[in-house]
Amino acid sequence: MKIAHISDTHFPHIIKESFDRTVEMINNSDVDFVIHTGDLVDRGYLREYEEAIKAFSMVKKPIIFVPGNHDGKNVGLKLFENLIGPLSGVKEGKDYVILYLNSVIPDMNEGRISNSSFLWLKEKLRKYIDKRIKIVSFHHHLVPVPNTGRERNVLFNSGDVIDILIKYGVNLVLSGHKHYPNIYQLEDLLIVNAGTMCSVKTRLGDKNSFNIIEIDDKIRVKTLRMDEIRERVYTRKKERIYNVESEKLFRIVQIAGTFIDETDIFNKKMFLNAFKKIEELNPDFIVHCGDIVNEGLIKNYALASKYFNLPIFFVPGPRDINYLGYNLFPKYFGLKERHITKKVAFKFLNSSQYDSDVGVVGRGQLNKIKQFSRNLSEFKIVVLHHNLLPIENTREKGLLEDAGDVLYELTRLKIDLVLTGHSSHPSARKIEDTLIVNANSLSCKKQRSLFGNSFNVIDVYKDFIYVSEIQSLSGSRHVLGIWKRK
Amino acid sequence: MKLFLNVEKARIPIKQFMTRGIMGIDKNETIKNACKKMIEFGISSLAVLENEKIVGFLTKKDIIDGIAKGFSVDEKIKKIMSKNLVFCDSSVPIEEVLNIMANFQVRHILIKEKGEFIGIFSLKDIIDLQKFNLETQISSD
Repeated sequence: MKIAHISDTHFPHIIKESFDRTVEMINNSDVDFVIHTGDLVDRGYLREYEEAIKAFSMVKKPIIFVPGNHDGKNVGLKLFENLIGPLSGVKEGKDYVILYLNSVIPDMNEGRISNSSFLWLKEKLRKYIDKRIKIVSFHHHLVPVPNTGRERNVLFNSGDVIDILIKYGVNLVLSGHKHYPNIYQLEDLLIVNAGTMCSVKTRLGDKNSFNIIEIDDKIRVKTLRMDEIRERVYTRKKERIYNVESEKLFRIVQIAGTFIDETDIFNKKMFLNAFKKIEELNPDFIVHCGDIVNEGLIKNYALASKYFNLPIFFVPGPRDINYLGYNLFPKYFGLKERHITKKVAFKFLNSSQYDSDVGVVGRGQLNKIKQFSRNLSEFKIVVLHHNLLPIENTREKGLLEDAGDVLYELTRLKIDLVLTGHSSHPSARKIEDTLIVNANSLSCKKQRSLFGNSFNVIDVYKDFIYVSEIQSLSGSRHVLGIWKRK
Repeated sequence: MKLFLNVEKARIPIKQFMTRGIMGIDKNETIKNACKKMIEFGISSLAVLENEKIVGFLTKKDIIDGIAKGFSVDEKIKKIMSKNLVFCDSSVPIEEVLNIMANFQVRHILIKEKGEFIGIFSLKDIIDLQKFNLETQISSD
């Protein structure tokens, strides 16, 4: 099966040469159909829709149109439904299914898979569970895209969407929105963002582009910029059985969100039980991913310093640096930059800004990560508070404002492990060759996991990484995942 | 077990609940070593391997039964492992999986997809979630 994946045409602001050339390439190719991942028009006006329909009548292949945020401006989704087609639907073939849905919040740039759409998606994924190829498409990007500036408008609930797509074994997600072509493999899910096919609005002086996706036992994605072609081939991972005899290299205990203070938001019993268990586990390293105290006050810092008797690496969360915390954190916990041994190297980042939940790594620290990646340790770890990938059960507000670029660099540099501690929900996902693990709150009453307050244990073996979550209160352990090492 | 699940949940394929990946041990390893590994990985079952292929299954219960029958901890696990593998496809709804497990009287089931073993589901996974309600009450005291 071959699909042409186009996006973000933004009629009427098009570069006609790009449009005509892409249509010609599609018409002369052997693609089975075309999928347009939204922003067909720029302002949702009738005139724009009419112009787009006329232009697309030149395409000689069947097209699926997915609505985008620009299509929904000025009540444009009604026009979309009347003139273009349904906002969501199913295209089914012998061994494949394509589910496309509306992620638009009218007059907003941000996206959301609404509650009813989410249930619809779940129901369809269950119905088509035996299809060999499962493709899902919506306009907004699912994970942060590089070179797109401030990363504040992925889907509100992309964490939940990612979770369900991975659990149901979806092969491919097709999106647009950011006008920059990008491909990530997240576990077995291939996330493909198309650039803009013909709009003047490109980023970085980039050229217009579209994707040709060929699916057989592998997935081949070709990005065709007007004068160059890039191709990447993906296969699903096969390794499923891991031999327990593999040599154990080291153990990390990852904690976050202790929220120490004198009020009952800090659950002392959880904290003490968790640390009893941590001592039993005898880790080589303990890493605290931030939000040590509830607020950055002297009394909280003084209290917290009595609670930590084991050697721990700390990075600050926004809670730690508000009020006086900005001055107190280095004094009480030290702001270590890195810890390097032959076996393992840690790079610690401060991603928190005071009086803001939004994190930032910034170009300075990003350059330091590049330097760090050149050290000769066998296993490289980057630690920060904020999330790089959306986390299930939370709105995507925990992301960094430069998550797109940071995620791109960390995966490009093949950092083995990234530890984060925002959003109070555990998560472990491998993106490209980098495993990203988020820790739940260890002892804060406000947490979001059904498993309860918890921390993570990350065991690195010669052949695989074994990540489990441990309940703070009872010490029960369950596996978050096992990943083969590269 | 049905008590733990509402009707909506019961229809969800086991894929949603299982752990991806299976920890395996060679069939010629000793019972003692298998015990050590179960503790190290915090699990109560291991797939038993011969040339990296699953040929049997070993649970904590098999070990207790084995010891009670008089096997020494230095004997090989192939002597006490279950040779009959209980498995189902990843698309089977959890309700049906629980039935299969009840019929075979097992607490763990291997999950297959496209003919290959890809994961494992244990009753403990559900019990852990249920425990949470109780623990929330305990911890708020």
